[in-house]
Amino acid sequence: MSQKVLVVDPEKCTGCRKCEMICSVFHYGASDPGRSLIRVIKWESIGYYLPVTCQNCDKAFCTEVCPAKACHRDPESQKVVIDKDKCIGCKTCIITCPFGVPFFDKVLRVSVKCDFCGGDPQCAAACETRAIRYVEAEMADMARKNEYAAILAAMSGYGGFGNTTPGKAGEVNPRWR
Amino acid sequence: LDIRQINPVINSRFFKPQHEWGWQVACDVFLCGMGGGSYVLGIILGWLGYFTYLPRPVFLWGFIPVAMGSGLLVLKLSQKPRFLRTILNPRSSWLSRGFMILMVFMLASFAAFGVSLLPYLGINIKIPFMPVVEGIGFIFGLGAMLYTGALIKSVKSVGLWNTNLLLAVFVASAFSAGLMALILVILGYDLIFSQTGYASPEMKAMVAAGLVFMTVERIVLGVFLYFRYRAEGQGSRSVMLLLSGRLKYVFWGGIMAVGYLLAIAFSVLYFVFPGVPLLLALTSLSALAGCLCLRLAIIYAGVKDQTPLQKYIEVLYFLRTQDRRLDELFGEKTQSEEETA
Repeated sequence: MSQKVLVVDPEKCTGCRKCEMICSVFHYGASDPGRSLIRVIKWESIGYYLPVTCQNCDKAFCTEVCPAKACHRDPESQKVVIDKDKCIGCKTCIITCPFGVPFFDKVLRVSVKCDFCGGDPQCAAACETRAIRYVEAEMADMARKNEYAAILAAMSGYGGFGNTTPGKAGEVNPRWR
Repeated sequence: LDIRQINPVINSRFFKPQHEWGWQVACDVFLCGMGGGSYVLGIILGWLGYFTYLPRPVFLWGFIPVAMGSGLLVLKLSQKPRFLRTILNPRSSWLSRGFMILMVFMLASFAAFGVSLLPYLGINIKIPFMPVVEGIGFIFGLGAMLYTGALIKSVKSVGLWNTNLLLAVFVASAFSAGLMALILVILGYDLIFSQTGYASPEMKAMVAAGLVFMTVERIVLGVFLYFRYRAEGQGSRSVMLLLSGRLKYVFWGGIMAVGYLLAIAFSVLYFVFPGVPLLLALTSLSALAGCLCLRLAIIYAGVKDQTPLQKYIEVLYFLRTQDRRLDELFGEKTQSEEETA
């Protein structure tokens, strides 16, 4: 069964950090971006912003190293989740994640990570530039493929799918030969 | 680590050493390695027939530092009452495996220590299975020495730690620390009970063996640092942090000067003046300080590798700026040509 994943596009992110705010409001009832389960990393000098959240890895290091099995893959949703009531706060998951995603909650004193808001991620819903999307894993790179196809079509002079002018139907573009 | 000036994409915030594991983990791996090493070497010394005048408990106290180290690790947890949950994932977590190894080691070595103490309390009971218990303690003592390296190595995202050479460094250091701690305890016993074993040829042989262990430890450390410097990822940055960065005082001062050169100097003085127990104590203490500095340096120098998303941003930036740079280059050339014309 295909599962949904959060896809981020740094090209579209404006660094408004609305996702952080809405995440903390949804989970803790207060606007506290410091406790958000999604973090925006900023490259101010070059104008790039990257929302970082759980990548839901197939082989998740955090589940492997967790000694208390608090960080585990949920059998129903197949998502990697952290059970706050079981976490012992050893921070091994934080140090071992290559994406640096589980965060330490200083109020609860446990590791926390994105729980996908029970299937309706608020960050994706609130993102106005569509830099964060919640899509089927198989469709995650479809937007990029479409963009690339559009570029190829523009280069060939066809102007996109369904538009065969100025060439004729079935004609092969000389660039592709 | 200030590399922002060189490359605008690489954000220097991400190249700071990890701060999740600190001195508690360093002390835990030091104490566990020292306890396991001293127990293993104590058993070997017993088999070799060294120090026959000493009571057996002097060799079997390894569970005490291991218990202290385990206690430190429990104190480091944010949710201390849940520490028993640590054992729930031995299939893949080295923290779970280590907790079990240390528990078995502590139980076995405590039993061996307690039984060896009985004759001195006036209780003469022959317990048939004690060699087996001591053997279990021996095996799990070796396990405790290996665990200290395996726990750190299990963090794959830190380039400095993700190598089997780290196991070799920690095992070599555990032997060195165990022997030096054993020398210190034997010296303490001799001083309390007015013995002169600290000036015996056996003790000199132990000090000489300690020097060999320390030298092997430094050689393995050098090989480890060399290969980590050449490895991919942030290993080289960690090595530079140790050799010439913020941790240079811990490395050159703690590991090399105090832990090696000073220990050698004191041991040479001890060989010249074997009747001065202070020299023996200073040799052991400086070597132990070096072993502790080794753990502290390796833990604090762990820099996490760049995340895949950061690499992606880097590629994006350079793909975008490449055309601009070519234009700039071409523009400058054209301008210079115009000027020439």
